Amino acid sequence: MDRPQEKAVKDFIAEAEEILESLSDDVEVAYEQFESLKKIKPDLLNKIFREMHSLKGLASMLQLDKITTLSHDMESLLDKTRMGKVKLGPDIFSVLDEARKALRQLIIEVSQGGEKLDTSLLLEKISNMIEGESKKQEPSRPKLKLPEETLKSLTEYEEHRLKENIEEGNRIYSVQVGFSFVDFDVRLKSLTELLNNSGEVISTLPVIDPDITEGIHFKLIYGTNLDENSVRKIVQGENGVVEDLLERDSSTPLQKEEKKEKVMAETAPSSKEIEEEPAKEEESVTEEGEEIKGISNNVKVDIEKLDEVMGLVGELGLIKTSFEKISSILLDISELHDLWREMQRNIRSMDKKLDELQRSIIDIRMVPISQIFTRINRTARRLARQSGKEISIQMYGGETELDKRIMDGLVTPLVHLIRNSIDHGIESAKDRFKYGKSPEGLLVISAYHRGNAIVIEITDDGKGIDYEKIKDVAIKKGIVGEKDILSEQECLDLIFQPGFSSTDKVTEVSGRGVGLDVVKTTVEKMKGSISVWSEKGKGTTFQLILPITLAIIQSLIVKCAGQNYAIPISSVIESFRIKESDIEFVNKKEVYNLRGTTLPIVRLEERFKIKRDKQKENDSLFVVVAKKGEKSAGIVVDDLVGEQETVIHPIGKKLGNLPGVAGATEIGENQVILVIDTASLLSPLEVSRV
Amino acid sequence: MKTKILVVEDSGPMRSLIAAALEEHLEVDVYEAESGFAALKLIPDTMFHIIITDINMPDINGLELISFLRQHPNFKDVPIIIISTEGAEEDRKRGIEIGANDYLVKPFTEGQLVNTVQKFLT
Repeated sequence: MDRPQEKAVKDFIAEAEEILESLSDDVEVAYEQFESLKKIKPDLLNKIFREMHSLKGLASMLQLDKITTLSHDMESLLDKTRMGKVKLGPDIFSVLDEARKALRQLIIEVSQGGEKLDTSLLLEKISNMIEGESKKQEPSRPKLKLPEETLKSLTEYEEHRLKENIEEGNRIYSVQVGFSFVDFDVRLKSLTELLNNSGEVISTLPVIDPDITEGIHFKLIYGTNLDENSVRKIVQGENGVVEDLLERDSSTPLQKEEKKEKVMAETAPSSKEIEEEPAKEEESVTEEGEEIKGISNNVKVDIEKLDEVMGLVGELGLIKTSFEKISSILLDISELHDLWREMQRNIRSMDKKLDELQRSIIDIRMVPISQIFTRINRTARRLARQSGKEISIQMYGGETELDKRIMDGLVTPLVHLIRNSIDHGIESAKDRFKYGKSPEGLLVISAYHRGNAIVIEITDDGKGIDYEKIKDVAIKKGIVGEKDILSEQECLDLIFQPGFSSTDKVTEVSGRGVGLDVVKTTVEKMKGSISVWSEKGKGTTFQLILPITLAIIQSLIVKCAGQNYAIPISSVIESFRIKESDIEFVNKKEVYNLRGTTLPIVRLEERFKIKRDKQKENDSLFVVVAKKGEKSAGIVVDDLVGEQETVIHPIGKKLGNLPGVAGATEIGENQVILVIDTASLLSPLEVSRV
Repeated sequence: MKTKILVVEDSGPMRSLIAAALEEHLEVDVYEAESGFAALKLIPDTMFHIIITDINMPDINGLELISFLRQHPNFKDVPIIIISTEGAEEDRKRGIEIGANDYLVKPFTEGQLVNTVQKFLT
């Protein structure tokens, strides 16, 4: 693929994803409207139509045939629906849902090289729906007091909406308003919103009038059941001129009166209006201010670019250290002492600025978790609907911020956990009633900050996890021995074991679903941990703890066999000094007795197969207690160097698969050291709970 | 002075494709507007030589924009090309009636676009 084409495809994917995202939101809202009102607001249906239309236009330019055809057919169906030629019913929503999924799949496939998904069945379904409906004869154009030119520039849809409004018995008005070129879009938008609250702005026509020398005027065609006076009140703030467009037979006296009022609205406002004016002005100014801010202040950035910038900051840090080296040479030459001092000062301020730069970048990467909450909420509601259970879904802490990368990685595990809770946690209304619970199940998803971490909890008030059954299954699967004595918590933790819950049968008996080990691995990859607690009959809570950002982490720098290593603070519980003789052997394995609990011991030099200089072996050692999920082990090191903020860089593929290594980081003096990944370092061990 | 072309199109990637194609093959400066409103904002300050516009757009549609431009003293005679996914003869007729000079149906090739625009370059 040549470069411009490649870029076009990349742009396409980004935009297509965005369109689909907003399409999904709109369909969800539309469904709610349909369920409660049996109809959808015309502007919402029109928006969904437009989204499909944009997608089609986009895909057709890039010759993505399957997406083009599917979105084209969907567009036709939606067009017929908004025109009232196809009846709006649940089948439209089901086909919309299918199309949305297929389009998402196709877009993913485009990013991987080409469209593959077979859409023929779906296309057939759509075309049946389009053809199955009898075509309603459109009535002729109603008589309106509008110039033929104006009527011509209405699109077919606008014409249709005009007719619908008239058929519903609404009045049709024209509202003429003038604005300055600077802010007409914002002001017109808020006026349109205001009008849409009690009617429908059918069309917005820019007007040229020889009498108008400044700014730009618009004629809005407005359908509503309000009388002319009420419409005039709505547009009063913008000095709008209202005119009734429907030709009525017996309205001559009324029209005269209206004419008079129109003149009033156009000319100076009455004293009463003057009093009201300032407050209104203020209100609209802030509103506009907000809107402008939304448009102009936000910049969309590819997260990869931020990763690059972050990498550059790391490199700048290295350059800073070489300055320090040069500076130390200056120190040795006494006549250059002043220069040395000057350089030191500059290095310090550079260090400060680098620090600020790093913090700003991290700040940019932060996004509120509400961004995925909406998506997750939608999925949860759909799953609940599909399960046929009555479930109330509550979400808290949407404003909690975390790194974009982590957030993106969270969607799959969260959906997984929610699916589990809905499918297997929450009981049917009948069962709930039997146990004396409210027939409506409750699923709560909450996020909050705890220190430098973000905590996400998924709690259901379902039947809880049956410890005994889990243990039985684990024994059958050979994960634990029959004679092993396990605490309730240890039983619970078994559900995260690979291979524990991979068959349907297990799902049935354990009451918990498929592949929680996958969830666990995903979370641990993001330097997070997952734990679960449950009470039989009362419910289950899954808790995820994740670092706020992956870009920068606080690390404990340790020394072992002459090498420095960084251990992420988030996985360190405590550290203390011990003697070599404190280490005991149990079952030929090294352990340490920590306040009555047996703590397994890991030696870094053994793990990384580094030869230790015998002479330097010291009687005094340090133990860093690191956790892995709910369990922990002690990492034995020679010395604790200190704490430092570290930027983790991924390392080459050759080293990348080395267990126990998360990446590399610079710690100054041009020194690059390994960052320990405690989860994989401790995984082959029998770890203990502390 | 280079010829100034205004492209009014709500899809960002599509706009970029058009702009890139025109600037690559013709001696022109392309201005982009993502909506009818955005186009109206550009109009008082810039004299465009050719205007290319989509029909289905949020805020004001392309036909309304053309109808406005045709009444505007500066744009009475400026060539206007419609780009639209609606390919029916009726749509084309409507566009020309309202004042467009040419009508391109999406998807079009780079060549078709460049040739159409070239017709109006003097």
